[in-house]
Amino acid sequence: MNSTTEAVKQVVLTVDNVSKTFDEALVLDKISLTLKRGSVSVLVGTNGSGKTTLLKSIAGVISPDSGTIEILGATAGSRQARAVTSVTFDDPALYPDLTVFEHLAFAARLGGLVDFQDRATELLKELGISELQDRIPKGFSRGQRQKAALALGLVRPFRLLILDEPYVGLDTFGKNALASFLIQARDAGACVLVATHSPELLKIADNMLVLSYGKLTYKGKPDAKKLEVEL
Amino acid sequence: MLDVDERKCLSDLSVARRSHFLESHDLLNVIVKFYFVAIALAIVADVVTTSSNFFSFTVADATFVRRYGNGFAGLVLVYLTYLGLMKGVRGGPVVLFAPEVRMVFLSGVDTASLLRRKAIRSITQLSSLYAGIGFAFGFAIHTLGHANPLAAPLSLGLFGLVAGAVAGGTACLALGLRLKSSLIYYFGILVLALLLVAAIFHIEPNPIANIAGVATAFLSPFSLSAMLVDVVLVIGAFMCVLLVPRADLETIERHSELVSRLRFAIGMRDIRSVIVLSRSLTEDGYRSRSYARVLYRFLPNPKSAPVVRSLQSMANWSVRRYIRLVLMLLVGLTLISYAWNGTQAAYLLAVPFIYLAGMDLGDPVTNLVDRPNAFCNYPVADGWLLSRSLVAPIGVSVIASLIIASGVYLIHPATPILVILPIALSLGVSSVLGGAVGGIRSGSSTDFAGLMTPELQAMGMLIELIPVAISAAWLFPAINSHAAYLTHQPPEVQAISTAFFSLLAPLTAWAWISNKTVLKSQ
Repeated sequence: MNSTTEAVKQVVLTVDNVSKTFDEALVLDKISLTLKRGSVSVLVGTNGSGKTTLLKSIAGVISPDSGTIEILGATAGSRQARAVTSVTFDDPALYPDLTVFEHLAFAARLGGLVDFQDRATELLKELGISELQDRIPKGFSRGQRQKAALALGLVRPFRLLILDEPYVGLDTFGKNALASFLIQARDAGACVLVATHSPELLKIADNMLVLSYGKLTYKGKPDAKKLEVEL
Repeated sequence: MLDVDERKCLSDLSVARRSHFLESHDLLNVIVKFYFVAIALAIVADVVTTSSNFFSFTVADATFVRRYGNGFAGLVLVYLTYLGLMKGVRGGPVVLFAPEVRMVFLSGVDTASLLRRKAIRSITQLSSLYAGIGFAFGFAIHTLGHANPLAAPLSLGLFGLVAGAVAGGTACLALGLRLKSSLIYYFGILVLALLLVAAIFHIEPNPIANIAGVATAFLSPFSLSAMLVDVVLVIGAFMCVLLVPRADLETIERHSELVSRLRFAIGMRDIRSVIVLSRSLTEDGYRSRSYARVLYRFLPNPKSAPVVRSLQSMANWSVRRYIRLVLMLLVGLTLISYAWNGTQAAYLLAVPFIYLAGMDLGDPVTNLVDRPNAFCNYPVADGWLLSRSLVAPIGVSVIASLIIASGVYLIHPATPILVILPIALSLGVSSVLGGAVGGIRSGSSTDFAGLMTPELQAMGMLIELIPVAISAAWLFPAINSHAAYLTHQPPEVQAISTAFFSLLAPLTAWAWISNKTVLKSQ
């Protein structure tokens, strides 16, 4: 009995029988999965396999046609679920009239943090964009925008971290920094879910999920060969 | 509800954004812009005052307004309801959010409260804007017509306030109830059908117009019952705000993604991406337009696809682009009319305007050349595809030219309509085909420039003028009929016969385009 209760406590994300169609195209087909605290899971699949739709459904931006998604017992998209979930999508959306540091400040404050300055400074330093902190993101390169967006996702407190294609546009320095942040987050007990085409993340991942034409075709230990076949 | 810290945080965010916005704007630049706006307003004021005889309010006008004013005001309200509903289906007040607000939406704050606040602000701004326009319009009527100094500005201002609330409220309604665009589309058709029935059978009073017409204080600004209905309408609009939290976030998500990519492309000066993303944004609104699906249903033949596709492409053009096109055609046709009345050099001035309008109208073809990958799987020859894509632009150009020509005829009655119409027909066809040839050829000549001798390059310059010459084929009917007029022969006969003759040039262009193999060679 105790072990069951403990197992339930460990679960952060529960996706149960989720389906979604867009214009008669079945994008997610009865997806079910559970992810536990202190884990890094990579979600892989070809273009159009439904990765982004699944992540957006978990973030609460898209409502599934059927099935349920719960984050720590709260329905995805609800205020409670959003309070513990940090999301970074693959297209960084930054205010054109706020400096990078102001972005971090507001993300942290909206997440309920009061003392965020040290954390924000550290994140910017680790990602190699300290010199950009007082600049407005106008004219930033793709990689600089991506780094700023990742810092935004990491500065606020979270129990579930969702990243969609975080490696896009990142240099080796940025990739290494991101990997170390993900390890830190896992060690701190967070559940991390990353959609990627990059095999580098498999080194630090605990689980691999494969989506193919909207179906979850593999759920288990990271398998480089499997990834090669799928992609 | 938002708690104190969240409210403070969001307020700080607004303050910071505003201060950066002000920092980024140069005071001198603002002064220069104001100067240009002031000049433009002065010109408008000058035109209005010199035309005050045309605008002055007569007793007959007042009687007309008394009889039909409520009906017209009602029509405006019904139309605004339709527009508001359509706007709501496409995201309405929600998509007005900047894409970055995703950051706020995905945090743990109360999004329902945020959405309500935004909707209230949208309705208030819209109502204020409409009320301001109504007041200014009423003031103008008062000034020009020496009407009651209070009645016109007050009643029109009040009407604007109600109209803004109705437009904003119905947008919130469609958004909150997640209405389908097809429902609203059929509502629009129903309204149109009822109006047509009312117009054909002279139903007095017009039922649809008066449903909303009752609500206006247009003719009775101090009537208590009318004011009461106005108040009910405004309160009803604000009640619709309560539904907004039920909005579908998918719309905002799709829109924000496109906007953020577009901003990035603008920042990187990536013109191609900017064009593609701007089109995608327009199509995003277009997605909810049901008439395209209806059109497809009626045109099942796959060979009609290029025609429908180019028609869709034109339907997605911005209002600004349509205004530009109409202005160019208007200027061109007015110049022709002036030429007829004695200023013959105006013919030459009209040529570039008509050519530019033709190039703009030939855009679906230039698109095909720009994006060969999107069409390479078509089981038809490239030239066939290119020429069929011109059917819709030619049709639109001919219709627009005929309408504008009729308008020009009204302005300058000395020009016989039977002269203007054949010229307009010739102009409609030749401008698009000349413009399309120019669009297809642009850039291709530079590929060979390095291989040519200076003499050949000079010839190349002449070749580049061929599209302009094709688009200027309408000069034949224009000049010939004018010559006939000056020699006291019937100009109409010359205009009609030479208009048909002038079609040789665009038809040659059509044949050239039909034999092009540009797509796969790109």
